[in-house]
Amino acid sequence: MKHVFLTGLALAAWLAAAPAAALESTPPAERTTVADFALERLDGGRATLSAYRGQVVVLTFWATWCQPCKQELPFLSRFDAADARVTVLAINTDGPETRSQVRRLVRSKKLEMPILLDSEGNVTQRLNPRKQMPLTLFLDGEGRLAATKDGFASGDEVAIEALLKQLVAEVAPPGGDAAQAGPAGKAGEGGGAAGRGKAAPAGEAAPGPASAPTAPK
Amino acid sequence: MLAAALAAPPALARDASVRLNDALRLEWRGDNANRRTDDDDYGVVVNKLDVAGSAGDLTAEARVDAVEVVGAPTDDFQDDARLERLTARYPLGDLTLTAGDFYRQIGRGIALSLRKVDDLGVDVGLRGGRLEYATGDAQVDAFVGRTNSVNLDPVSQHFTADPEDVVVGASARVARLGPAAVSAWAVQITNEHRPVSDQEFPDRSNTVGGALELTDLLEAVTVYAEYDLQQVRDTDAVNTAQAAYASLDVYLGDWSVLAEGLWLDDFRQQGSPNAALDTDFDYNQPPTLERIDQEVLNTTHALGGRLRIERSLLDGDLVAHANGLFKHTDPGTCTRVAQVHGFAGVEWLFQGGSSRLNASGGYRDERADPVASDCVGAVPEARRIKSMAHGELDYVQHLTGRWSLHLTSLNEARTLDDADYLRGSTLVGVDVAQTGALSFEYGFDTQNQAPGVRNHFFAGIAAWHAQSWLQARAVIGTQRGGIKCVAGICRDFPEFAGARLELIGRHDLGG
Repeated sequence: MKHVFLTGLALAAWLAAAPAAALESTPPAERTTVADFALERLDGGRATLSAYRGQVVVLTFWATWCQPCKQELPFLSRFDAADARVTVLAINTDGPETRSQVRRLVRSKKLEMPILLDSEGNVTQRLNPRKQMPLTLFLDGEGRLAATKDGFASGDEVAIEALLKQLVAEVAPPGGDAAQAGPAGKAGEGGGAAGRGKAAPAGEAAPGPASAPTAPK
Repeated sequence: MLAAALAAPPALARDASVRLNDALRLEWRGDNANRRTDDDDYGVVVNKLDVAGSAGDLTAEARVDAVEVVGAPTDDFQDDARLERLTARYPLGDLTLTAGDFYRQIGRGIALSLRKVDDLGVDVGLRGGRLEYATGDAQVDAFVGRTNSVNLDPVSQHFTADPEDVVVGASARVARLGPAAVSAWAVQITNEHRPVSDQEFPDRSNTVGGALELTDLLEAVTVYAEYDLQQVRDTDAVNTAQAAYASLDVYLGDWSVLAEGLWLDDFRQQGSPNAALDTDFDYNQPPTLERIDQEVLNTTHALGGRLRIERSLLDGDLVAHANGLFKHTDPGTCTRVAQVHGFAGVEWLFQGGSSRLNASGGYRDERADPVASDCVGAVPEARRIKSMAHGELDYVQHLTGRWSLHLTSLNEARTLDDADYLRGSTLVGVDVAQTGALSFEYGFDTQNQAPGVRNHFFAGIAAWHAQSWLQARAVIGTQRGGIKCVAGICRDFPEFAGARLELIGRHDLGG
């Protein structure tokens, strides 16, 4: 028992002293392009990744049974709503038999971002082959992979926000004309689309009126 | 393997990329005290390397699985290395061509569900081709292939041969017909390795079905209805089977109500035998009406429904729900079982979303309920087979900065044929964002009180985000086994005693 206690103590000390694997972006010259894909949207129609070129795109893989995912999604929804240059595509990996649970969770948590459905897992297999939940990919304005984040723990939201600021600055340097749209300037998932005004990305059939100008690039 | 991949030259054409993801598991299993010796005292090294590449519009993926067993206790363990998955996709305007391995599901998974359920080691895909035409409002596809299962069963560590059943299918979906979307499909499955070898025709099933979905009617109501009809030729006998599923979601402000019903009339997409599981492969996964982690008695012959009421509070940070389920399995037969399950819970995000508390609990009861008095063993009143009172807690308390405390507890008080027992696990840990976590797990299972059988389990778990591209996770000690289910698929896990180290690394090449 004494050995177990000492081992635990040593590990705790290591955890306290271990450096954080900071959420940092890869230098632009070393980033790789994420191949395009198309997925069904929860609110109908299809979404393609390439339609969001010019924006910072956050791809997050989640499932209804994943508690850390359900903690992370509201943060990501806020980041999505706060800046027209950031789009969060939340890729749900549940099976089709739980589709109504997905719809209800999105409504009850008032998630505003587009929800994409990959119940077959073909996109997940390519971008998240170990099916880690959540797994979040950060793409720069040119559709290149800038960073990857495994899991979600309290405190990660601070690092995510800092990373997004950095990537947004690459898209539109401070002082540029890419004004932030604010929470009312987005169009994402079904229920809130009509009032949120962010136009459907190029080539994508999004539901509801899409009369607002395309997000600044 | 990972090191070799990382050393590969990064000179790739512009817009070409290769992404490597490698998972290495080193495991030693000692005596798990389950009174069996065929799963003790051996080591296993499993490596899964996923490679995903793209060049222009072409994308391709491959996975190489390798396993090495040290001191295998029986011949069911095999060393193996193989190209497990290989896929290429190429879009031609609205057309997409897929060749190689792919997953496919239709409707709500009743007619076909070939997918990967990692937690249970289930991973069956099709090896063949698929042609898909998709615009914003319409999708049509046709596919053909042989079923290809992952060959190392990660639960038993045994080798499983591919079933190689032939699946041919087509589907069409048209959306935006007002609020409606309409789908139709057809699937044929021909079994290659059925036990009866001298039958005149191979076992085969033909399934046709369709679905109607009405979304956001009056911004408050969503309806889904599906029907499937199947003709099955099994050992030269031809039978008909049917299935139907419907759900109604109603949203009234912060309230929502879900009502769903399921009818399975001997409906099964049966595959060839699975030697590792000593049963047949299943190529469908109907809705269960249950929580995702619940054991499902029968996914072939059932009739039931569920009602769920949910209330969202505090701008979505607090969600409370209550559920009631009633289901008959094997309805109309002498083996009919009546199942009732009621459960409720809350999900609460607080401290601005930095902390969470999810708590739920319920009671489930299953009774043999023969339909007629002339059934063998029929009794005047239904006889309880098993029952379960359960409670779950998932609590994360953010402390400061990157530090938080984590408590997860799942506990069940079960009765099986009038024998009572307890089963549960509690995990207490410290999470440090972007660094890792340390946890201690205590589990118990009092079902088997025979001498020499372990009833209490203790394990230490460490997770480390070593680098942005490398994660490590180690488990040492003992963990309880038992049935684990995901969306109606259940596996009986053996108890674990030993040590396990998992390393997951990834690397991107190209630019």
